[in-house]
Order: sequence, then C-alpha cells, then structure tokens
Amino acid sequence: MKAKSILFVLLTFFSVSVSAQKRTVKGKVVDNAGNPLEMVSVHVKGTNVATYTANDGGYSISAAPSDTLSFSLLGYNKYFIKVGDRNDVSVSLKESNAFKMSDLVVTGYSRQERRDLTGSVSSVKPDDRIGFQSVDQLLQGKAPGVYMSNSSGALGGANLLTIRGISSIMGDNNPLYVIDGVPVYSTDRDANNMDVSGGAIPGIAMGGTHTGGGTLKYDHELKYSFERNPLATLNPDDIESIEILKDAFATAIYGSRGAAGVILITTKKGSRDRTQVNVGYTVSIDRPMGKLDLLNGDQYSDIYTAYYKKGFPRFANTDWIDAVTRTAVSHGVNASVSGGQGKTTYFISLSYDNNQSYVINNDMQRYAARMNLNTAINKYLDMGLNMSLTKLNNNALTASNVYAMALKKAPNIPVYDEKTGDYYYGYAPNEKGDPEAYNPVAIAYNNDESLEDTRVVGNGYLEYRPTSWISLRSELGTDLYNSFTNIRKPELPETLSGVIGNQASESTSLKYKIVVNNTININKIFGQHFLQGVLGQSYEYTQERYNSVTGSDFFSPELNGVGAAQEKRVTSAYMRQYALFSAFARLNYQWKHRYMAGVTYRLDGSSRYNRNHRYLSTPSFSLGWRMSEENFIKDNLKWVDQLKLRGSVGLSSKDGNNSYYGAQAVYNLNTLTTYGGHSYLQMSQPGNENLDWERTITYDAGLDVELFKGRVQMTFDYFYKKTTNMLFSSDLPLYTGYTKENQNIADMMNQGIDFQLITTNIQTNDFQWQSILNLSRSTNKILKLNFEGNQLDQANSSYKYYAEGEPVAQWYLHDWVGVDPMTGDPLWRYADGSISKIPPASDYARSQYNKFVCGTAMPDVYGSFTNTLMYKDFELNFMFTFALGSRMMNSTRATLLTYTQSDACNLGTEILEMWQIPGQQTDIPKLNNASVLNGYDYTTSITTTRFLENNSYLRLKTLTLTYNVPQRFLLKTKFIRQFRIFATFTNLFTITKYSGLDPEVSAFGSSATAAGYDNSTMPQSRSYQFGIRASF
Amino acid sequence: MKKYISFTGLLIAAGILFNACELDYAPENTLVDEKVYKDKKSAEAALMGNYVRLNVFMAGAPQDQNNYSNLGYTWYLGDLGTENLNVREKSSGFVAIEKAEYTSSEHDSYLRNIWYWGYNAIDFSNNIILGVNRYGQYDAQMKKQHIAEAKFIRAYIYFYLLNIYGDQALLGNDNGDGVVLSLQPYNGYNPDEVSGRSTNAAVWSQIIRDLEEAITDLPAAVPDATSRIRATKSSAQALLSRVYLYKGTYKNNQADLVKARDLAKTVLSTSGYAFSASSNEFITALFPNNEYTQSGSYPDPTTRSNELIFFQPSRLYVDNYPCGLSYYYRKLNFFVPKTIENLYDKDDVRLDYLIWTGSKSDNPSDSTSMKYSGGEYNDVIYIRLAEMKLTYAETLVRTSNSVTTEAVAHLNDIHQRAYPEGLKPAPYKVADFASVDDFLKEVLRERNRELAYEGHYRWDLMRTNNLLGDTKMGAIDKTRWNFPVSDYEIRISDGKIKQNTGFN
Repeated sequence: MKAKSILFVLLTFFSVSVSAQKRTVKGKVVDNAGNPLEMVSVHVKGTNVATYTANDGGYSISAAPSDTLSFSLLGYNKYFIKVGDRNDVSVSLKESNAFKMSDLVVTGYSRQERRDLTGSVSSVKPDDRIGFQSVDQLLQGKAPGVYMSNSSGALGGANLLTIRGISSIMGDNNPLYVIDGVPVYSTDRDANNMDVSGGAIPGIAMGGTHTGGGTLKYDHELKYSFERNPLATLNPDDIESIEILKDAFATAIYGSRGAAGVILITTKKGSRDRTQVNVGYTVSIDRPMGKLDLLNGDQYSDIYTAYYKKGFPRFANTDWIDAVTRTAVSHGVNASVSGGQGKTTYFISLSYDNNQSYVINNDMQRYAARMNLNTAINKYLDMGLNMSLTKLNNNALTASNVYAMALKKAPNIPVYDEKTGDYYYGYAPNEKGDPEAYNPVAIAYNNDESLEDTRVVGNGYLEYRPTSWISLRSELGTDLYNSFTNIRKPELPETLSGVIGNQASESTSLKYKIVVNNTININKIFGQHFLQGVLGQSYEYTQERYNSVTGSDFFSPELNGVGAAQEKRVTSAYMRQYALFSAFARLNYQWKHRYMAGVTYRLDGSSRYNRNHRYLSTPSFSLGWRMSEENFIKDNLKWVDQLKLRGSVGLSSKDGNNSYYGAQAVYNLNTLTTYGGHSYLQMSQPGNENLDWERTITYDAGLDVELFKGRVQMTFDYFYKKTTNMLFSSDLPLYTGYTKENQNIADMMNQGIDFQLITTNIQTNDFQWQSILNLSRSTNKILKLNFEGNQLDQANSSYKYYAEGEPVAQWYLHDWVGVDPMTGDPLWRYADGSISKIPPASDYARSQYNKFVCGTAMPDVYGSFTNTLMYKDFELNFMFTFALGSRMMNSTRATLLTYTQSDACNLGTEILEMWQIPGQQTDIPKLNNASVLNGYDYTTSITTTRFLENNSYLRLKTLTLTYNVPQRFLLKTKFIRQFRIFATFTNLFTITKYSGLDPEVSAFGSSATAAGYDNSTMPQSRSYQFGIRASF
Repeated sequence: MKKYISFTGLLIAAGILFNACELDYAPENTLVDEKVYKDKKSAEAALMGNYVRLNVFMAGAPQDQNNYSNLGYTWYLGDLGTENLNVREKSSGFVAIEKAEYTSSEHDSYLRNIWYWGYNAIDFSNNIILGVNRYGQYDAQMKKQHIAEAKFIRAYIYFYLLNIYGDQALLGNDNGDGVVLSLQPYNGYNPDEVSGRSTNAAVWSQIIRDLEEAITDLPAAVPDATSRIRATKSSAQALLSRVYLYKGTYKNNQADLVKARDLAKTVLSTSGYAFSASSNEFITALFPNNEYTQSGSYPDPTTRSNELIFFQPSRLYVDNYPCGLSYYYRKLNFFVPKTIENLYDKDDVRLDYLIWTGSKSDNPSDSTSMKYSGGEYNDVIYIRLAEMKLTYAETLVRTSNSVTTEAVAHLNDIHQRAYPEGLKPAPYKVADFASVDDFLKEVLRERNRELAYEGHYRWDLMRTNNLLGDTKMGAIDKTRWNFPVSDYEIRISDGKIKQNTGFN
C-alpha cells in the first residue's frame, strides 16, 4: 500500500514536472497500406495521458519532447516513438503476424468472435509473399491438426491433405472445401483422376504379381493417369482468410460431409473507407530438388552385358535426366482494386500466372478474375455477389511420365540420331528395353497432353436485418466446372514395335453444382445472457456430364482432331446427378461471459443412399468456461489475459463414401458379345439396401490461453475420433452370389493432440521477434474389420494391409535381412524366425503367411516452426516443417536396382557396390543371385522391407526476406501507399534419412490410404521467388 | 419495410419450394430393377444375362467382357476322378479329386468358385423372378414365360450344386445337408442372419417345384436347332427327367423312376426333335472339328444337330462367346487315358473320331475328346435326345423290373448309330441279357460311351452305387463321392454351414 502511494506521488510529480514543457502533438496513424486506423490507443509512456485516434486516424495529445508515445491496436504490433521536437507524429502500424484472437471467425452459415468459440477452429491468413499454385499448399504447416504433404513436383497435381488423421477406408479423406458458402468440387482421387493413355492401352501385362519387380508398373491407374488438383483453379491472392473446422461441434453444421474436417475459404471484400489498388509481380526460378545418381552409358552396358552376356554394346552416354529437365522460370502478375462508394463496396481482382515445369516443354497457365460486390439497399437490406472466373491451361500432364521414363531410359542410347539429326527412336542396339520409353525427349516435345479447366464459383445473397439482433439470409451459389482433356500422341516410326502412336483422345466433362442456403441468424444480449444462433436449410444439386472419344490412325499430322481420325470411337458418355437436402440449427449460449454452451443439429438427406437409409442426423454439443473472467484468476493471476476451457462431442459423416446409387441393383448392357445373337444385361452391382452412412463421433477437449498481454498465446486440443459403421469392401458368404461388397462393418479410431504456441519473444520499436510452433500428433487404430479381422487391400492397388488392432493402411511385407557376406545371396526372414536365401514370395501358398506388418505412411508427429524477425523495414520469415514416424516405399530405388525385367531400365550407381568377393559387406546382392528365379528378381520387389524407409524429415520449407519501403519515402510519391520487395526461397534444405530425393512425395496423389509410394515420382522443386507488391 | 419482409419471405419460400426436390436419381447409362423389368426387351436381356451366368457356372463363359469367369469346373467334375479322365500328376489343380483328399488350395479354388458362381447365377434368377413380378408391365403370358425360364435356370443350378455338395444327395440321404436355399434377391448382408444348409430333401423339392412350374409356363414349340439355347417345355421336361432319375435310382424309388420314364417318353415324342441314325451326325453336326490356330482361319460349321435339346452357343460364328473348356483341348491338368479304348469297340466312331490328340503343342502324346476340339469355341451340349433315349431305356427296365423290347430298341438306336455303314455290329436282343442288372450295366456303359465328357459319368456312378465298378470311384469311400463345401463358407458362417459327413 505504501509503495503504491509513493509510486503515485512520484508519477504525479513526474507528470507535473514534464507538464511544464508539454505541448500538443498531432498526427495520423495508418496501416501498412496507408489506410487510416481508428481506435488506436495513443499513450504517453510513463503517464496516464492517453487518447484514441478518430476515424480518419488522427489524434492529438499533449506531450513533452522527451516523452515516448506508444501506439497500440489489437492485431497490430505496438509502436513506440520519441516525440522530439516535432509537432506532427504520424506513424504506420504493422499488422501483427500472430493471428488475432478476437477476430471474427467464419464458422459455417454464420460468424462468431474467436473468444466465443467452443469448437476447435484454426484460422489461417494467407501470406501474399509466397507463391502457391493452390490453396491446399498454402495450408502446409499453418495450422495444428492439418497434415499437408506435396505429392509431387508435377504442376497442377493433387496433394495429400488430411485433418486429424484417416477417418475412412473406402471413402475420401479429403476435407470439404467451402468457398464463400459454396461447397465446391474438391480433391478426391476418384473424381479427379484422368486417363491420359490416349485411347488404346499398349500391351501391358495386367494383373501382374503383387510382388512385382521394382515399380508399381503393372498398375494401369498410375501409369496412364494424372490426378489434377481442382483447387488450382482458385487464385490464392483472393483469399482473405481460411478457417479449418476440426472438431465435431465445428463440423456438425456440415453434417454428413464434415467427418474429414471442413475448410472454409473467405475471399476478400472491399472496404467502404477508400479505394485501394494492389499490384504484385513475382518471378520464380525452379530446379528439381535433387538428382539421382544413375549409371552412365558405359556402366549400363557393362552391367547388362554381365547379366545377359550379350546384347548391350557400349554406344552413347546420355544423361536423360539432364536431357528432360531445365531451370524453369515462372511469372505471376496480379492486380486488385477494392473500395467502396456510398452504400456499395467492391473487390475486383485479376491475375495471370505462367508456371513452367522443370520438365521440358511442360507448363501451366492460370487466368483468374474475381468480383465481389456488396451493396446496402437500405438500412435493413444488403445484397451482394461473389464471383470468380478461372481458366486453367495445364500443358504439363505428361511431365511425370517423361520424368519417370527418363529415369529408366537406357543411357547408352543417344537423344538424337547422329546421321539424320532426328530423334533417336527405340532401344536398339540394346536387345531389350521399354518400347514405350522410345525417347523421353521426343515424348516431351511431341506428345500433346493438356487440360483446360474453366470454372466459375460464385454466389449471390440477400440479407435482411429487421432488427439489430436478427438477420435473414438467402443465398444461391454455384460451381460450374468444365474441363477438356486432350491427349495426342504422334505417329511413330514404323520400325518401333510395342508402342502405339498416332492416336488421340478428347474428354469433356461438364460439372454443375447449385447450392441454395436459407438461414436466420440471431445475436442477442439480454442482461447477463448472450444468445447466438443460426437456423437454416440447404439444398445442393450436382449434375455431371462426361464424354470421351478416342481416335487413331490419323491420315496426316495436320488432320489431328479426333473427328478426322480414320478409326474413332466413343469410350465414355454419361450423365449422373445427385442431390443433398439439409436442415440445420445451431445455438450458442453464454452467461456472464463466462459459461458457454452450444448445440448443433443437422439433418441431411442424400440421393446416394437408398430410401431406407437416406437421412442422417448429426447432433453435437459443446461447453466452454472462460476461467479468466472468474475473480480468482483476475485477482491472483494478473498475467493471464485469457483462459478458456472448452469441450465438445458430436457426430459427423462423409457423404460420397459409396458410389452413386449405392444401394440399387445396377445392370449394364454387354456391348462386346452376345448370347447366341441376343444382347444381354449383366448385373454389375447387386442391390444393397443395408448400405448406410459411416458415423464418426468426435470428442474434443481444448484450452485457449493468452498470457502477458498477448505475448504468449497457446491453443491445445485433445481429440478422440471414433468412426463406426465404417464402409469396408468385405467378404460375403458366397451363397449370396457375391464375394465382396461394401459393408458398414468396420470401426476405427483416431486420437491425438493439436498444439499451437505463439510467442512474441522480443518487442521493441525497431526489432520484433515472433515465433509460432504448431505440433500435431495423431494415432490411428482399426478396432473392428471383417470376419477374418484382416485383409489385403484390393481396392486401390496400393497393396496396403488392414488388420484389427493396427493402424489403417499398413505395409505388409516380406522381411529383407540383407546380403550374406560369404555368398552374396540375399537373406530373408520367415515368420518362424528362420533365415533363408529362398525368397518367401516364391512360395505362393505360404507367401502371405510370411509377411510382417511394417508401419504406415502417415506420420506420428508433424508440425511446423515459424519465426518472424522484423528489424526496422526489413522482415525475415522462415518456416520449418517436419513429420516424424512415417514410412515411404522407395519404389524408385527398387526400379533402379531391377535388371531382370525386359525393360532393361537404367540403374542407380549403387548397383556398382554389388557383392563381388566373399566377405564383402554390402546391401546389394550379387548379380543373378539365389533370389532371381525364372528371370524374376525377388530382391527388388516392393513388397519387401528392403525399400521401406523412414521418411521422417525436417525441412526449411520457406524463407522470406522482405523490405518494406518506408512510409517517409512513399509519402513523397503521393500515390504509392505501400511498396514491398521480397525474396522467397522454398525447400532450401531438408534433413532426412530418406534415401530418395523428396521424402514428401506420394504417387497416389490425394489418397491418404494409398500414400507413401515414391514411384519414380517427380520431386518438388527448389524454388527462388522474387517479387514486389505495391498498393496505391 | 413491409415490402422487404414480403420480398425476403418470397425468396425463402421459393428456396424451400425449390428444395422440395427429388432425392431419387437413377443412373443414365445403367438400368436399375424398376427399369430393367418394366418392359419386355430389357427384361429379356436380363434373362439372357442369366443364361450367361448359368453357362459361367457350368462350363465357363464370358461374364463381363471377353474374359472367362471360371474355367468350366462344374462340367469337368462329371468325368474327373473317374476312369474317363486322368489327372496329370504334377497338375496343381485337380490332383485331390483322385483320392478325395482336398487341401486348402482346392478349398480356395474350384470348391469355392463352383459354389460361388452357382449362387451368383441363382441370384440373377431370383432378381428376375421378383423383378418381373413386381415391375413388369408387358404381356402377361410373356412375363410368365420369363419367370419360367429363370426358374428353369435356378433349378438347373440347384440340381448341380446338390450333386456336387449335397451330403450323399445322390445316395438317397434325404435328411443329409443339401445346400443353402436362397430364393430372394441378395440385398445386403447381415452377419447375424447367416443361413445354414437345407436338407437334401428340401433342395430336391425346390428343384422339382421350380421345374414343374416352369413346365407349365414354358412354350411348347420346339424352335429351330440353332435357337435351342433357351428353355422350352420339353427341355424342362428333359431336365426334370434327369432330376428324377438321379434322385430315385439309388433307393429304387419307383415313384421317381416312373416320373423320369414318363418325362423322357414325353420328350422323345415331342415333335421338332429328330434322332439321326447316321454315324456322320457326330462329325458334321454334333461335334464338328472347330480346331483353329491363331494364324489360320476359323472353320465355320453351321449345321447343328436336330437332336439338341438345350446347349450353350459357343460356335465360332457367335462372336466372342467361348466356353471355358480349353483344358480338354490342351490337356494341361488332365487327359483322356489310353484305357478308354477298353470302353469302345475299335470301329466305334466315338472312339475313332471323338477321341483325338487335341492341341499338338501341349502334351502331344496324350489324348482328349473331340467334344471340345477347338478348345473354346464349341457348343457345350447340356441336353440331347440320346440321353433321353438311354434314360427311357433304363427307367423302363427299372420300373418294370424286366428287360423289354422297347428298352432294347432304344439302346440299339444309340449303339448302332456309333458305327459307320458296313461296320455295324449285330443289334442287341432281349435274350442277350441274362438279368435286369446285365441290361442296366450295358445301358449305363452305353451311356458312358455316348455321353462321356458331357458332364454325366460321375453322377451316374454315384446314383447307381458304382454299378459299373469304376476303379477310381471304387477306391474312395462313398461318403466322399460328393465334394466338401469350401472351408471359407464354413468360416464366414461361423460354423452355421456345416461340412459334409465324409470330410469332417
């Protein structure tokens, strides 16, 4: 008490003493873009003199020259400045990088203050200084519980993104994406995989053995397909914020589609205050992340000659990887105008990106435009329109194939024929080779494989607010997504056999989705009570048309439309449609700002289900306790700004886990043969009235903490997710007439933690240092499967194994022990513990029995660590991402060690380390060893542990250096309000034990259950981006 | 203000109205039950699909595209494990049949597949029977016929499932376990409602009921020989005659045998069929040489015997509809032994012409049957007049317990035809047979000579308690003459489906 009085006296004295010299200081506070900031607290340090800025950013305060003014506004970095002898102290505040705890958060059909949330929601604000091709890439490392992994270095290819683990085996584990209220076509391997075979499939051995040599090359789905990323059509620069709904209370409002999480994307809107023009330009330089060591032509000839004894002469020395790769240069330009006049605000943007692939002659262009318009018709009524228009030309569909072929192409074959100067075709003088890899360079230049997407995503709304606490909103949204795929393969020399040229295929898909939402939102405070809620209904209708034609035998290369082909046929033509009808309600209640409770309920009816199982209701409940409002915290723990405990439980599902019309018996006409001249129908699918929704129940307990005046912010969540009724293609008693069918038979659980810590480590006027740590852990276990409790996956040809008590999608492999140093033969471990040189896979009957469960492709722990350092006008930002405990099947390495196949592919230089003399310690067995049986090399099979590697990694994902041209220069120009120059480096370095090029890739694109194969997959690029951003 | 309220109200009302939409959408390029069975054309196409599945079960046929759904195991079982066919010692497929000692490999292959493909075809029949009844909007008579054909197919398959898996079903063990009776379309699986096996007697009754109902509604007219690929009244009668013969022989059940006799007689007297007495019938019409090589051109025999009652159309001129019986041609897993010469006289065309080398590249020193000369592109003859004659002769004697002139005449028709003009032996006379058993043995032997490799012999041996003394069948305990149910089915039903007595 005494101390306080003294302090008071001192302070009074001090203020009195300085008041002698004080005068009125005026100024203006603006943000980085030059917009005036209202309600900024201006405070004379060490006194109780304080004021706020007006709506034009202006303020006036009395202060002495020796005083320091402090400017603070939530969401911005605090700023200190000495008054000196100036009368005008104008400052600009930088936006804080820490996300703003008090922001409005979009929660689906409504908005809430972050402090009022009782569900688990992460928010991400995109950084415009890093160029991304798609919004999913932007989310990497940005939020706990979100696992994002770039599947390859292919342009426009799909990536893997899961939220809180795998929650379905048969279904799509990708989240639902909602753009400005419109659920859009998003990533799902089945929906986005395209056939790029060009019509006829060259003679490949289908149904090859599981223990296939080297790559998954028998998998037609992989070799002739491209999984595009539908999110690439959205311009990331238009995004204002992204909300990730994770727990059941948050996702329940999307009911039947929320089980894998929901990603809500809100695009930028105009501001009523002033017109603003933003322009940006980025140039980026990309190189593949690394290069594998392959044999040169002479080494290749020697190895194959040693194996086959003849037929592989020394001829040329070609580095095929160098021949097909390049330094790619890409450009991106974007411009936007936003502002408002009277009652109308607008945001209009245009962007153009031209991305080169690091594989020659492959590139992708995106043209995007957006217009967001809002207008107040009167005090009660608003209306608006959000619309984006995108054209995406992806001419890089062939890149991954070219890259894979270049890896395998015999290096003793030249690119060009010396005599004619033409491309050198085929594999002569070698006796064997892959006829399809006739010349990767020629393929890259001559094959025309492209995709043109045009997409319109938009919605219009009308919002009516009869009173201050109620609003009614009707909106109509659409996603028009049309695409045209064009595959043309040129005529090849007649001498080339085993490969079909002169063929083309064209596919057109017209997708159309319409969404109607009608909602009533309430926000009412009465006394100590606060009520917030939404009541609504929604209808969604989707229609998809698809046509595909192929042609071959074109008379001349100039006549290359499929219509001009001498042989042509329709390979596919269909229309399908489905609809979802929903009603939903959410009510959040708060008492005394301390105690919170919420309930959400949604009812969905889907046309994909049979009438008896058509409707699904998904209730959820939550409770929250803002402990920091309690006196015992307020009084005793003054450094606690915010402390909130919350918990939720609820149900969700994932529509689309089964095919369209899942429950009906379906008949197809056999068009290939007749029964004695009579056409006949075959039943392609029996009826299955039992087919029901998967049900995921999620429990979540969370803690939100803010300490030391916002210097430390922490969010912690524990979740337990149990999926019951899970679909699995399980065995049937054969007397049903069928062997397998999707049944709601399995149970699975995921549990884990999401953790985020944001700290402001140093904060002075000139120097700030902020860190963000995201840490997620999730474990998965199948609780119940089918009648035998385990099954090899037949569904997606990725040879994964499912068993009760184990995590989903295991590798199930024969155990490779190593090479016997005495004989050079490989050694294998059998289930009974014995070691033998006879490959267990060669005993077909006992093969499965001798396999071992070997882990999964999903990491145990993953996350990111980001630091932002700001010194004066410079800003350095770097993000590390990491994933621990995952496994990768290095099928690339297996391929590059396989010399027994007829494609006589190139090999990695490690083959030179093969066993040659007794006593030699090596991992490469001798040529033609005891596990090469009937010309088949069991040692290079990808169903062995030999190629399964731990691909845990720590990667410097991005490093950005920015220079903000100071306001004092900009003010002189009168019209430039902000000018930034930056350099961003992506994938600078990676720490990993993985022996391949990139521990992140996945040959199966967005599929989470099939993830973990590096199948000669293009590594990501190391990218150097330089750009400027300016506002006027 | 009011204006806006009503405007918004209108908008929401419009939205809700719009929402009161469809959730029933049928696929465009496929048909669902309601549409398939609504009109005659598509219902008939579904029925054709059912015949295809019958063929898949019996002899292998292209189920989906141009592939083989199974390899014709059901067909092979008529001769495998008897003296007619020797299993190649190193064959991985069928060795177990010789000693009836089945390992997990057989349980996972043909024992499982025959059962599965049988029920797969039965499910299609069940769908047609229910679907036509429920959704059919075409001519009532035609609907009845379609249902009758589906019942014919269902009975056909149950009959063979019973022969194969029924616990001594052909040995008169009426209370033994038959097969699972599934008479409703599959529509989802509930593990708590696994069915068990019905008794042999119950399955026999189901087969007979289906066939009797089918006979009522099937058309009486016998179509042109090339079109006898669908059930008619007489083909159902012929099948039912076979059913009664198999069911009644072991216990000499006179009621059954009388029915078998009378039905055979009815079929024999049905106008439209004709029995040719010329030995050329085998060569030109019944089993012409359809052998082809990839490089050579396909033969194109177009004459079909007027003796045919029901068959699977696989001749070359029917595109891409092969049978799965190439194992005969290639002799990979089994072959016709030299001892087959003991069954025939040397001038018998059925030895001289029908037993031949088959594929010259696979096992050229072994023999096979001309009945599948081209490997795949041969009709698979399910029922023909010769069988009816022999059945009639046999049942005539069994029901009268005496050798009659009429019975001997039918036996002679078959026996005499097999020899070319000028080489025919003396016809049998009643006096040649010292006893009823003598005659029965001769008629059964003739039955084997005539119908060998057409899927009959094993079942004839079983129902007659191995009257002919086949040494291979004789070496196996009777309780193991039938086959075991696949272990898989026992496992998945949690033991509710039980194993046959001989294999416990």
